[in-house]
Amino acid sequence: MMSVAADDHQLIAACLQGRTEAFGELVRRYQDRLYNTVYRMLDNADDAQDVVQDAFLHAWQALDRFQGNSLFFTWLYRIAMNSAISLKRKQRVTLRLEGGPPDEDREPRDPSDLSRPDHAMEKAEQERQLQEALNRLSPEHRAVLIMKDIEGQKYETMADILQVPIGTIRSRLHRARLELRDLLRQNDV
Amino acid sequence: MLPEDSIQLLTAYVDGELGAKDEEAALTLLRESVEARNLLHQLQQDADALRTLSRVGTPRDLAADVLAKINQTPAPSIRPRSTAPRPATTWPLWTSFAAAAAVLLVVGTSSWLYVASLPTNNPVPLPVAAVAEASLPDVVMTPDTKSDKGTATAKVEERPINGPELMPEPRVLVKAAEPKPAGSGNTEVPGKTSQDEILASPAHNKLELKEAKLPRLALTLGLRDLDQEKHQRLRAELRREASQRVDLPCVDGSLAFPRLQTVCREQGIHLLLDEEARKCLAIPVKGINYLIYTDQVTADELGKLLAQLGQEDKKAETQRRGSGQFNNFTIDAWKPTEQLWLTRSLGEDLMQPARPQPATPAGVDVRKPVSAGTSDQVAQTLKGQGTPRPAGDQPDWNGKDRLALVLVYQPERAPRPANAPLVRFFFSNRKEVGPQPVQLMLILRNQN
Repeated sequence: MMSVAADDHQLIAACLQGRTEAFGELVRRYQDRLYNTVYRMLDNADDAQDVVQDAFLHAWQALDRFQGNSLFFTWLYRIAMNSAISLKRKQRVTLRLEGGPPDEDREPRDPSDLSRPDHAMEKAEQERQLQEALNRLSPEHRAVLIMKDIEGQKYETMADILQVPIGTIRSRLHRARLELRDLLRQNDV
Repeated sequence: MLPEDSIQLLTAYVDGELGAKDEEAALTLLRESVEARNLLHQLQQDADALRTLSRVGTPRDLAADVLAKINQTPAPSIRPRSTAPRPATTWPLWTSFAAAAAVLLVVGTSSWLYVASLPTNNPVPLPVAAVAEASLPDVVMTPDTKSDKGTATAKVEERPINGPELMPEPRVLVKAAEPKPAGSGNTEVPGKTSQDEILASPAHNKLELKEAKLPRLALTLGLRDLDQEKHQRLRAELRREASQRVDLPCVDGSLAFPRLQTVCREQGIHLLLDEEARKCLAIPVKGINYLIYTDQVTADELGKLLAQLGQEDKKAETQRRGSGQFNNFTIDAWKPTEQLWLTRSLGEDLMQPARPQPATPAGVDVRKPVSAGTSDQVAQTLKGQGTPRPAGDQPDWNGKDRLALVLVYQPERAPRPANAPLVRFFFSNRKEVGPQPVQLMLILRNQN
């Protein structure tokens, strides 16, 4: 990972010398990972694209202020997550009847009987229910669950990204987990 | 109803960032409370569901749009520092030091006065972890080396809290529940608490767990960050039980499998692919999960294999971002449904003789993991049945490596019997295994 981080700094240095193609490389490097997280936050492909694109643009504008004391991706992630949380706060939370990630960005499955449609449908249904439950959490709770369980981040990084104390992260995760548990099991009652 | 601080301990346990003391407190809680175990199970299920959500990539490459927009704006550059002279300080340097010293003196004196004024019967409130520690018996789980069963039994002894002390290595497993023979007396059955028993005993703070009957707790670790401490935890975990289930999510099984296969080969394990698995990997078919079964690996070898896989994956990710296939993995007990699926896939007919045969070993109970001795019996029973494949039918096997079976794993459908000659070949060519062999079920699971 150190060499990736060092590579990022080289690209950033190139950007600061006016080489925009270096920034293009940074975008290609992190767009998928960022999009995945933001998509899970917003559950909307268009909004997620806008937020991710804006995050990169914002990062470009503020690149000279990036001090390098954290990973570039952490810094970028912070920009994107804050935007996503702000956007979510503004939007009215609605239950979606149809959900799940768009299929056009996935490779088509092999049509052999080993990739049975009903298996894919069942998995898609489970994911839809999980995403719906996520949607019903507050933006702050959704963010910490995504960062912890989907991104695998540690408390310290999450606190750095969201600019809150570690105790707040723990507390939010605690409530988020209990809330998610209740939401997912409402239908089982 | 569990108290709030207990629930907090459990959610933090799921987060995987408890310190050694808190982890010990969590284990104690789980040992004593069925409600806690049920809650933890639910929380872990939900966390697993989140971890295995499909990864969604950008519908289109954003780089072109971003570059188009930034080309319209000037490039950011390092802003020159202001060259205006800073105003001269009006205070000499020694005054700063004096001020700092004065502040420290005031803070120190105030703290001393405050502590000295506290009445002795009013202790300072402790943080959550210490409260949990103080209210529960301070326990140390040590392996009982007198046990001759080859698995650790937990013996809990009381330890006084005497200020800072070295914490024992965190342990996250308890022995899997095993049904005791009838008439063996009271045992802790999952679902029934033994709390009354514990409280009724005269020294109820001393808990003697002769044979823990608690469900085993899953251990989740990051494959790519197995440092020395985590590797030790992993090894300790793998040594506890004779059967291990490793759940290994990956981004793309068709890419992850060759990486795993290479590492296995370097560790002297040859993967025997069932026909279905071979086809899926050759095409390759996306989204297929694979189950790898072997009983020819020791606990330490398995730990080494996982560590090496993590290293290789980390190297790949470093060389080219996005090439990493693995993230977290989980070690757990075999699930009964999976065990049943596996025995049916391997072919129950192969596991039990079709006709009673005099002077042959007893048939294998497919409901139990196959022990080493039983595997020998199976191989013995199978000898002479059908046409055993010569080693030449596995041209890429060097004859020396230990073997592992690879099957396509689709638990939602009825298991297809694996290639019978292949299974016979597997059982007929078992090698000597070192100390502490494990029966391994490794599930390579696609996240997409």
